Amino acid sequence: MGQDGSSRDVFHYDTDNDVLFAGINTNATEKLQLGFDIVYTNSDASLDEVGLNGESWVATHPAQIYDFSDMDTYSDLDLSRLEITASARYAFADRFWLNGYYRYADLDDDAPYLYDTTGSVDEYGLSVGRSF
Amino acid sequence: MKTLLNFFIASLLVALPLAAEQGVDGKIEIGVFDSNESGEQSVVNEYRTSSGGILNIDASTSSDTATFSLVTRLLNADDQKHELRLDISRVFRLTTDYESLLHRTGHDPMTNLEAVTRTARAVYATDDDPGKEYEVEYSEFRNRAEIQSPGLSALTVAILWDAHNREGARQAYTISHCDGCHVQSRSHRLDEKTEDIGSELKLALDRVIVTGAFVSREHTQGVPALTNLYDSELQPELRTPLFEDRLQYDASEGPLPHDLMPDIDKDTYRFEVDLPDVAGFTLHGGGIFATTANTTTGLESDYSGYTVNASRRFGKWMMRWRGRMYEIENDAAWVDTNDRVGVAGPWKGFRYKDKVPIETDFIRYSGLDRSTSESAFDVSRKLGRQAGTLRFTWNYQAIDRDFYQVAVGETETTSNVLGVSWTARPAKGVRTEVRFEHGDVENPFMLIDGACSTLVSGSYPSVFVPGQPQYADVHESRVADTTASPDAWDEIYLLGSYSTTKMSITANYRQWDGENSSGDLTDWGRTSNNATVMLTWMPAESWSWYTGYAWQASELKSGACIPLLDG
Repeated sequence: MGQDGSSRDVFHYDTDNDVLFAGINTNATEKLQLGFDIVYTNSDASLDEVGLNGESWVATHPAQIYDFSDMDTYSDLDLSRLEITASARYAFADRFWLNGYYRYADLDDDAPYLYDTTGSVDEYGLSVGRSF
Repeated sequence: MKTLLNFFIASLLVALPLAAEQGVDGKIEIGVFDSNESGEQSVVNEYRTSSGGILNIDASTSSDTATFSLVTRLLNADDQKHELRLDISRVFRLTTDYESLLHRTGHDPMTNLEAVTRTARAVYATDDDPGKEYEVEYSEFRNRAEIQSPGLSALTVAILWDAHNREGARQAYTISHCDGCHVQSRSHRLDEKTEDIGSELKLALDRVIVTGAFVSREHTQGVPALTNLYDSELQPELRTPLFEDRLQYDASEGPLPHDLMPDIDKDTYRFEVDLPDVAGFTLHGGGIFATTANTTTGLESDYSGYTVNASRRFGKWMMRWRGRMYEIENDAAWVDTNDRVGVAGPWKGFRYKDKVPIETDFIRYSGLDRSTSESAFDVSRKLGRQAGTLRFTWNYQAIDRDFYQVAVGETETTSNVLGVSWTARPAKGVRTEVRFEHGDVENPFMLIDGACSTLVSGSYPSVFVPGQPQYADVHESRVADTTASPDAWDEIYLLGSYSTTKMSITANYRQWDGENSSGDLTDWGRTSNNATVMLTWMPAESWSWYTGYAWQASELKSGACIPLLDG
């Protein structure tokens, strides 16, 4: 048992995020308004290969294993998310309207870190309103 | 509180249509929402609830002597927001806000915590509540009432009452050592409450405004700490309790508290003086004095800070300066290590410090104790209607720590940031901005000798062989200074936009580049780039569209070491 110094390297960790978004709103008729929005996000993170192999130590202590060849992949992140929202508002009478919306969100976790966070949700709502 | 609010809102539902006949303006919307959820929701649906009603109210009314407004957005008990404003003859003003939201924090199954040796698992995990959904329900109730007497209108008296609650459950962890690293987690109920009660006096005269305020805060956990019976300490290969003297706890200590969060009391005093015109200068001065008490441990922290702001125009030149000084003093903590006696092996009957020349009890002084001085100075000149404004900035900060060295023999970090910017509207609809800053830091925050032990110990058949290096010797042999702070950095920001009555396009770019090579084996650096471009277009009054793209990229580098061990 013992210690023979340390093995050192400089780590490089890179992240990249891209977000695309777009939307449209229109008064389809005098009484009907429509809206549509979409957002797509892609996020990546990765560590460059590291060189903590302790060559000189392993050469004289073959029983020890310093294999870090996979370590750089442990902290990889690869997430993509799509979110779509559609909405409509219809004025069915003077000072009265009907609102409806639908939202879809989907997250893909292609490189889980602690656990897989992949998930999706459909959400929809309906409401009636009055101004006074 | 929620029951009271629900009753209040139900009353409004009945009252508002009737009130409409009495001159109340606004709108009301009622409905329902629902969702289908698939897979993990803690990221894709982190702050949203699953189902509930929809109630939106926007109502206001006024008379000769009073105004009242209410804005409500209610989805369910964990997702609602209300704003109430009342003004009676400018004598009494009430501002009341309530907001709640849900935070799904996720559940770590700890499946990555698995490693084995020949005879036992070196790392393993046990989840005591595997099906638990960890969520936190936040709520915040903020109230401010002001009284301004007609006979003494220069004086405003305000009463403040804020309440913040966090309810739900979090995943609490423990780790047992030596017989493998055994990580356990279990649910810990949350019932945190933070309450602020205070008052403020403001005297506004023609040439001076004086403000004094006091706020008393009480933060309570509401639930006791959990307890855990840790695993028995065993040497993982020999399966005997050889290291009892090297651990402060194991099963023989009985159930021990964990996930213990303290109750906190805090008193804050604040004063401000505003002088709108002193020889052409606009002046502001103030001070804050706060005492924070950890009522669980009895330790206290004191903060005292002062600020001075001054600004003045000299023709086409504008000068601004902000100065701040503050001190933080924390009680020192006595750490009384549980020195246990060995029960097996060569060190049976001895404490660790009986065999190794080390003092295990110590006083922990706070690394946050400090005196800080800050100065932010900028001077700008208008070049012309289209040529825009040129601005030069100089920000200075000096942090002198009482007990923490950031370089050998040095406790002070000094930073200077010089900047220049130009903003202009060179043509109709065109806006531009260019900004550059350079930062230089002397003795940036750093852990001296924080990594890379150079110890060469030789080889020993057992850890009990006398005279061999111990843990403290490994620490003492570290030679690399570690940091995540720059000693020099540059930042550039570019903005351009063009707009007409029907369209607008805006693009901006920011780059920050910093590094630190001032310490021993310190090789830290970070470069980040951000860019955004957005286009909006309204071809006709009946429809409009928009699109955009945002990009962010960063590169981080940092030196790291692992010890080369045999055994």
